[in-house]
Amino acid sequence: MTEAPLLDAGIAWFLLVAFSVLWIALGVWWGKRGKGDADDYLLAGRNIGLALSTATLMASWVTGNTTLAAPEVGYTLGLWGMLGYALAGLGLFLFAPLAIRIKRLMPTARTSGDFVRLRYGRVCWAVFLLITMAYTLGFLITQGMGAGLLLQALSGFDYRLGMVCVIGVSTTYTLFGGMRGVVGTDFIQSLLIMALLVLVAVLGYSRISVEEVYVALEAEHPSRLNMLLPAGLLFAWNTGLFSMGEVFHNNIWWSRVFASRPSVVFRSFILGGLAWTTVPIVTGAIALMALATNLDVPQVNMVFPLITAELLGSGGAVVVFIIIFASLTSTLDSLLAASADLIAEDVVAHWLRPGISDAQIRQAARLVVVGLGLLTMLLSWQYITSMYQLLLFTGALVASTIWPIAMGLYWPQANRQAATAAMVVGSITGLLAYVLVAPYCAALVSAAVSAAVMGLGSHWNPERFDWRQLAGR
Amino acid sequence: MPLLITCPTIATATALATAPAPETQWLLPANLFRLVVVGSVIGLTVATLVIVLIWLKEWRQGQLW
Repeated sequence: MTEAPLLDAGIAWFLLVAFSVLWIALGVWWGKRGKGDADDYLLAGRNIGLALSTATLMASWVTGNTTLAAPEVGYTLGLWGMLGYALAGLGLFLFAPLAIRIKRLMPTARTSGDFVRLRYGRVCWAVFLLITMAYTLGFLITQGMGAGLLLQALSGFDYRLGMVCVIGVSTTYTLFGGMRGVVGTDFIQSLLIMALLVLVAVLGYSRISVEEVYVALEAEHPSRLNMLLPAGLLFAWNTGLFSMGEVFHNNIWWSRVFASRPSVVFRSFILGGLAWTTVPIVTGAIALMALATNLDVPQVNMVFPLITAELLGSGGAVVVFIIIFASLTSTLDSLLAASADLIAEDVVAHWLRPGISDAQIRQAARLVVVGLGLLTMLLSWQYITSMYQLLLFTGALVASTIWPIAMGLYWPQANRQAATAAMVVGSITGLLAYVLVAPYCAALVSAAVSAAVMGLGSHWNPERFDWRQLAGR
Repeated sequence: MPLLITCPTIATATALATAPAPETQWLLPANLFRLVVVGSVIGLTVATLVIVLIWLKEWRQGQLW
């Protein structure tokens, strides 16, 4: 990251302070609304409408990666990179029918852990918590590290300063606003991201036409237009599977189900998925302009900021800063709120201190938000490449949860021992596939083995689960 | 999706993409390329407007929260 920053330091400071104050003020304001009980703090009162529900799904799924790696794969792989990345929207689409079933079966539940504990018992619940915690912590740290690196590249900020600012702002408004503050700011952040991406695409393609980009790609980079590119097909398959594992198990998405009004749950996941799917294609299409103009791109993951600044000047750099800051904070706040929800409800209320009051659960969630924020800062303090290696494994972990959750929601014969074994064996074989075969096989092998273990185990030793057991908490 | 998570896949795919050109290829025609680019921008614009319109409707009816 030694290249000159794209944005003047004074402008960058102004934007950072202005948006930090705005998010914190809105978070505190929204946090003062509602009844003030645990359901209000953890789930925004369980009555979110369609607009806020769709926007919070959209904002949580648009991470720093969507605005940086999606253009990167558009630049390196072309059309299949963009379309393959867009397949990550599959997770939201496929979760829509599950979401409405979850809402019907578990009207008073608060977390994905509640489902696993009530459906499969405490042993499986412990395995599930380990998997989801490992994944969530890795996710939090990558967002923290990403924030530091991106602000450094965009504005010349010190890595630690940028990282602490972004995590600190997200932690503060999540602490005071709870889920209500997260959903409210997510709405504004998602609209900012979407509207500014449209602006960049329209202005960019008004300077260099779609036909000019096509002609340049056909002449100099035909592989980017090849719809039979094997690498692109592999990438698309893995992305779709990974997104299913991530959405099916993570409490970010389950908490949105519990927080939304029953009548909007299904539609919000479909609408959120549709809206999100356009983002990687638009950002990828913007990156293709870099190829068409032969822009020098020293770091391929910075292609989106570089081409935007090249085409739109300093105004473009400002837009990129706002998009990336909104993407990072909207994902960090969702992760912090959903993880606090999970730890306060599952670990504290159902494990360490059973029988604690509603007010104590709320207080525990607030402490967890602060603790997680500080832990994320601490673990992101030093940018280490081994963290990157550690994160490669998470695809295998989350993919192992797809079938235990999907089968557990629809199939009364789904067996608890089989679910536990499916998660453990799926994770182990997925990790082995990663090491011994190839990284892109990890999620595939994990999901396939997990499905076989779950299906065969439940077939040989079927359980007779009474769905009414899920109605408790 | 989480930051960096897909990078191994990207790295692998990039390596494969830069390998010798595959024998089979089908280049997307210009009209379909235009459809992908323009369609995605229109789709994102429509999605933004739809969310704003739903918000306005729910806000007027007091059904936001």
